Amino acid sequence: MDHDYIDFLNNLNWQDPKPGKITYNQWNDAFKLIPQSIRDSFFYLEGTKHATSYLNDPRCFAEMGGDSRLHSIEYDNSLASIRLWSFLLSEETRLFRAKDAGKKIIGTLKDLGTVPVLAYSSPDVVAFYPDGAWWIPCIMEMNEGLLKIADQVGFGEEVCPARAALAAFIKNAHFPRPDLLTGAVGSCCDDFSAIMQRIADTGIKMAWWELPYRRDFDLGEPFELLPSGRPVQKRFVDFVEGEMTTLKNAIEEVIGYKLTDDMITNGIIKANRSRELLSKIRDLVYGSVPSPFPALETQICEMLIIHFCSDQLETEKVLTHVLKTVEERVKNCEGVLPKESCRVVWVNPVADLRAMNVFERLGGAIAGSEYLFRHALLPIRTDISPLRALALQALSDPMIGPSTYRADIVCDDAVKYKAEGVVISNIPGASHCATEGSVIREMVTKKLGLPVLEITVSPLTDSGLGQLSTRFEAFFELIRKKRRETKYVHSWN
Amino acid sequence: MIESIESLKKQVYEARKNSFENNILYTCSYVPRELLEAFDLYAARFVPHGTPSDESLGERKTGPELCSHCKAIAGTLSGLKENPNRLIIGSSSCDQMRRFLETSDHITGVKPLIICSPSTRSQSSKEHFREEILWLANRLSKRLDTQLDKEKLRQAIRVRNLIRRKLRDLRPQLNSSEFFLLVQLDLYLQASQMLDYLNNFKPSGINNEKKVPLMVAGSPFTLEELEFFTMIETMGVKIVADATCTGDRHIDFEIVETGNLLINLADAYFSKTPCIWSRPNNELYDYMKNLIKNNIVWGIIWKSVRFCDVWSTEASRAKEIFGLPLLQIDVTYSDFAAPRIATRVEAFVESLRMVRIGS
Repeated sequence: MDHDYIDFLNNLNWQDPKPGKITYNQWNDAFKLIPQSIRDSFFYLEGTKHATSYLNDPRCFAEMGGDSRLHSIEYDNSLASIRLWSFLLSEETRLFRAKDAGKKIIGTLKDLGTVPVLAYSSPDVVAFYPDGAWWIPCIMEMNEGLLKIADQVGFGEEVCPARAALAAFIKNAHFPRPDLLTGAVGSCCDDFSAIMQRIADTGIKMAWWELPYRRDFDLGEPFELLPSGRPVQKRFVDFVEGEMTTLKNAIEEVIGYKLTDDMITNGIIKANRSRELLSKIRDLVYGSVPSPFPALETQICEMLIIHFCSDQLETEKVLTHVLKTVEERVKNCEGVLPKESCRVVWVNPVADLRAMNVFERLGGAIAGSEYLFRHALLPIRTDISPLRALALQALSDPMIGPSTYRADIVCDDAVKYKAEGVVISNIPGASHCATEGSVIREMVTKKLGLPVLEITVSPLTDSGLGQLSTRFEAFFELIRKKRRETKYVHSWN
Repeated sequence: MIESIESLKKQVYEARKNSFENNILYTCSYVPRELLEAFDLYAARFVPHGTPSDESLGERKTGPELCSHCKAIAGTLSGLKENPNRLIIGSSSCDQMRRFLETSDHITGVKPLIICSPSTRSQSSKEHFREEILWLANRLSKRLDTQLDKEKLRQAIRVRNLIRRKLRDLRPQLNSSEFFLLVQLDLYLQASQMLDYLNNFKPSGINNEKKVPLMVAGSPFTLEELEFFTMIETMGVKIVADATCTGDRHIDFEIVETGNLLINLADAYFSKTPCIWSRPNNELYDYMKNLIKNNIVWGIIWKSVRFCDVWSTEASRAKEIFGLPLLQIDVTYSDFAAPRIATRVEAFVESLRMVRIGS
């Protein structure tokens, strides 16, 4: 952790209230108590004339920005959390400001964690995931009309909510027109592959690259080790390293100069710093009882890692702040959830953020996660050619190989964080969800004997809240019953 | 010999039945059949039974959200006699198929071999595909405890090239059902048998004048979907172009027969007109534009099976690109010839006639 920044945070002289969850209205009230000097301390685009403070009145987002779902969500009451939310919700504005500041905007489609590291090796680039638009229908409670637009161009309900990204391009809204798009295809879910093809029709310069199918390794083939420790065929690494070179060339064409190995290595070092912070946050949040930070905010922290929420430097600071908060809470044995909460590994991000609140309110606590991008959490090697290191990174993607690889990750987290069950949250229409649930379930049951709940969460769960709640309640009851039967003793301290 | 459609149909059903009891089945048109045949393997393309019962059985084995094609594969596999020597070979084609294949050992008891078919069309992807084919050849060598015989590979390539050429030559003389059935037959027969058949085959010579010329595109056709073809033929339609991998794309490529045969084989399969999931998929659209132009197509039937995102989401794009009337149908194997589909096709065909009369 950056000790200078910790000192800075300490010098804010801010005292968080006793850990707990707050409603939107309470967030409004809490915001009013934050002195202007603190609000002005957090800004993005540092070092440019467009540097902007982002700790805004939540009504800026909910009422003026149209993010009406914020009214229905519960939040952690710490300053770090309020900052985290403001940082996340200000991304759209930040991207437009970045463009005004002369930054080149690169939309990195699909690969979730690799290309932004390469892109941010240049100080003149801001990379973001247009895929993230999949949450807009939830956050704006469908008022923005993105899914309707997608439907009109042939992407209906049978396609996953990421089709909102296509609609955002068509509508030319929610982010500035990128200077370059990179599209990771190959072992890519069918929905998003189709979405990317249509996005390419909008005429934005597109650099396609192959994320090849990562078949299980055969003994006898030359291999290298992935950051996860698993072997991968050396020739796959050679191939993807070549793809990274192609991407580098495409980025260089946009920025107008070469990206040296040193620049890319420095980019990797910066990315690793954020990954290390996140790793500590995860270990504390998922491994502590009571849980010191809510599931939703922890998920957002994980999401920040994939493209640094369009400001790499500020992401590091936000995560430092969150880590400091979590560390203090753990030190004081404080948490936001009851000690008795049922500890669960959560698989897949939810289309409706509110579902995480419901999960916790009914008695759950996250003890491990696999949100489609475990590879973005792993440190990237700095002892080899940076492009090769990024290739190994990309090949660690849990979605490009057999589902058993992903199931292994889930089991590892369950063991590490002493989970009592697994929730697989399917994304409606997502092609991978059709088959991998059963693979994960089988492995978790066989290896660990843990119960598994498979649910489907749509972009707005309000009408299905009753059903979802019943399923959570039944699942937690099963976990509690197992506790009583096995007399499993948690070490609470 | 002039075959009646009924007789040809019977032969295809018989060939399919025999081939499915075989050891080697491959699920995707990217798997180079010639390589398998060079190892003296009787390899058949595993296009599943397109029946409601197979689809439904497959759904019970896999889940409701898989596409109808994958479900039908699961159901058909479940119905085959147990064969410990069976080998399924597939490719990473689309995500659903790849993921289904990975779990198919629950049904077959045997882990499939899955090659990576790149989506991108670059030189490096081509080289990656070559290495995948080499890998497949090595795996087959190990499994069969025999080396790849170059002469057998040459022979396999030569015969399959000949078959494709003959089918291309016959194409203009065939009616929709005949072409459909001949391609299906080719999927299931051994090369020498298919060549013999074609050498003796004479088209029925049914008069195709005054039929509405259409192109079909979309998910692969199962044998049972012959009913769809005969249905639309009775409406006065001729399918003059079939852009599916069980249609013209099955025959529209050649493999160079000299030089490094394994590389030529890989390159030919990589470079042939790609499937809809290639990125970008302009090459497929260019191919279809040529089919449309060369066959004076009036309209397009764009068929996708239920939950097949890669084809269904392209329909509106295809309509824009081709600038022709396009009918999109989304079917399962229980309704591809159902009255609702028949009505829609009939109305579509009628509208095409009216437009032509008007102009």
